[in-house]
Amino acid sequence: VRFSEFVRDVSINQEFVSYNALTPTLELDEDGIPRPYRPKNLRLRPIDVQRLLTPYVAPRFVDQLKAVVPLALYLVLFQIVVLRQTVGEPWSVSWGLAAVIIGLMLFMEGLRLGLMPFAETIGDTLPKKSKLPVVLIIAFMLGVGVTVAEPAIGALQVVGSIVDVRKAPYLHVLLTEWTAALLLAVGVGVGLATVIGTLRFLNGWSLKPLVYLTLAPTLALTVYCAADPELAKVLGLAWDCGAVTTGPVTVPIVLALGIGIAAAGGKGESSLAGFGIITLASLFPIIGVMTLAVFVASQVSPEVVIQNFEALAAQEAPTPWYAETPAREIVNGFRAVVPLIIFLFLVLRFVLGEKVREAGILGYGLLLCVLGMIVFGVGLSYGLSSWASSRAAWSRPLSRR
Amino acid sequence: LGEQSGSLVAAAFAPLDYVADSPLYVYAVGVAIALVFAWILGFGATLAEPALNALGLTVENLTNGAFKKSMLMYAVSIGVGCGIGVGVLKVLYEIPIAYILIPGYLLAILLTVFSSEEFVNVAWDSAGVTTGPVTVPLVLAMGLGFGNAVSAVEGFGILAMASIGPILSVLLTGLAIQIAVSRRQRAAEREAAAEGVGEV
Repeated sequence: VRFSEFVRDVSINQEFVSYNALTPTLELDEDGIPRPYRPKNLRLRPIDVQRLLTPYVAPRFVDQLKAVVPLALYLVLFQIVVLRQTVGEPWSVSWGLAAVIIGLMLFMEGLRLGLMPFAETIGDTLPKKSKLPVVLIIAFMLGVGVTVAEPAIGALQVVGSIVDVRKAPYLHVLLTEWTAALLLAVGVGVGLATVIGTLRFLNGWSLKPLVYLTLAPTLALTVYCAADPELAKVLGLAWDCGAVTTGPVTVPIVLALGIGIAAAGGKGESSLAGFGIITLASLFPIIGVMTLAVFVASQVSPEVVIQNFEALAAQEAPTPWYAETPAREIVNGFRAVVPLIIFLFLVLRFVLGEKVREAGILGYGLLLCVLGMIVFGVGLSYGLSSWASSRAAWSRPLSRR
Repeated sequence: LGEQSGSLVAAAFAPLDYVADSPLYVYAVGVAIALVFAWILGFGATLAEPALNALGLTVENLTNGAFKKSMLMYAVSIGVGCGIGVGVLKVLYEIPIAYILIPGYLLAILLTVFSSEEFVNVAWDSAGVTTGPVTVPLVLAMGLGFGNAVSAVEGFGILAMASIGPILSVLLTGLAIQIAVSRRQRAAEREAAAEGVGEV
């Protein structure tokens, strides 16, 4: 007997029930033939529902609680003890934090049940059924898709709307008008990184030359941007994008795919398989964003940007209903997850010709993903940065100048 | 919350409209407090990251225990802490980000040349692992709040610092381990040689 099995048997809380207690007693009709047994419908009292759900929900909730609460407590305590300031809008902040915790919990569970099995099946079967170029194209598109689904990307957009257009016009434009292009640039970066990382697995390349080769253009572009006073302000954003992309959606899905492909190729057995994709996925988007910034700079001049913005501000169009806080997060949540799901489904169904197994659980997982994304988004805008009111506070000293 | 504290931390050393009796402390002390605050934030948030724990286990297996899990976790966390600290300084004094990034990455490349393949893989990946779904929005919001409070142009770039930090710290730790291991090997060889001489 293995020790681990022994420990499991000893520590498990078990009770033996006789099989006779579970089988219904047979009833015979007139001819002595047993009547078919029809079980009664189960009826659950509220307490039963609670007892069944608690062991499922509690550990997942506690996981996220552990991630969020110490950080929040630290911030609050620091603010009160060292800075001697009270926390502004304590209620909206705490509701927001609760929403962040619940949203994260739902999203992670949805990721585990819904998105991961999808990605794993594709990673396993795709290389066996298709040729390498097809595999790489799909890996590339998957890289683009997961970036859009990354929850932290939403934070970039929320935060970007605070940037002052007069001081950093290009930065403002990138984060408002060109958001779609920005997302695409980051996504293409991650997609390329997936492709190259997979090729690395297959051919057993060393990471060192790859790092040199990637860093050379990155640093060159950085120097080029730094030389231009307007473009220099975008650099911070570009380098931050690299860190944002490697989050809880991208890392597991991209890794599942990469390792699946490498295993099918037969050469990915080295212990280092799995490393490197993340590195590339955090460097390539930097190049993407800087290239986009250079492109935008060649299209419009900063003066035009400022003029456009001021013209827009003068009109003061009322924000449409879908751009206001709860509705905007719902739309964003759908937009982030649904295209990825549809893409994965199409690949599974038409490229691989496989049927979806356990559709119920999968659907449940995907539903959780969307829900979690929405709640997380709402929590972010209320809790972590209740920015609307603070922005009003900042714009006053600016306009006085 | 992140933005609030970001903008309030600045009150420790700079006069602000929306904080009464600011600056709260003497300038140097205030800046030091802000730095310590940022450092602990980065250090704690990273240490709590579940992905880092998983990476630590993998690495311990990979290097046959030469690189302990706790050692990696502390190396990465210290790296992130220092990175965020430097990032705050960058926002505060409006240092052009290129001045920090380019020497930082050049140093990283230099260290990469001298490190072995395993450590290169681990170090460069640890940068990506550290940035989870809670840390990123918090740090971003804090950076922007901070930047706004000291009326800097933009508050981005702190995260970028937080990824170069662990790369450098893990590479350095890796190099230190490599040197220690090779020295131990050399010492063992010398002993073996000495014993051989003694026997003859």
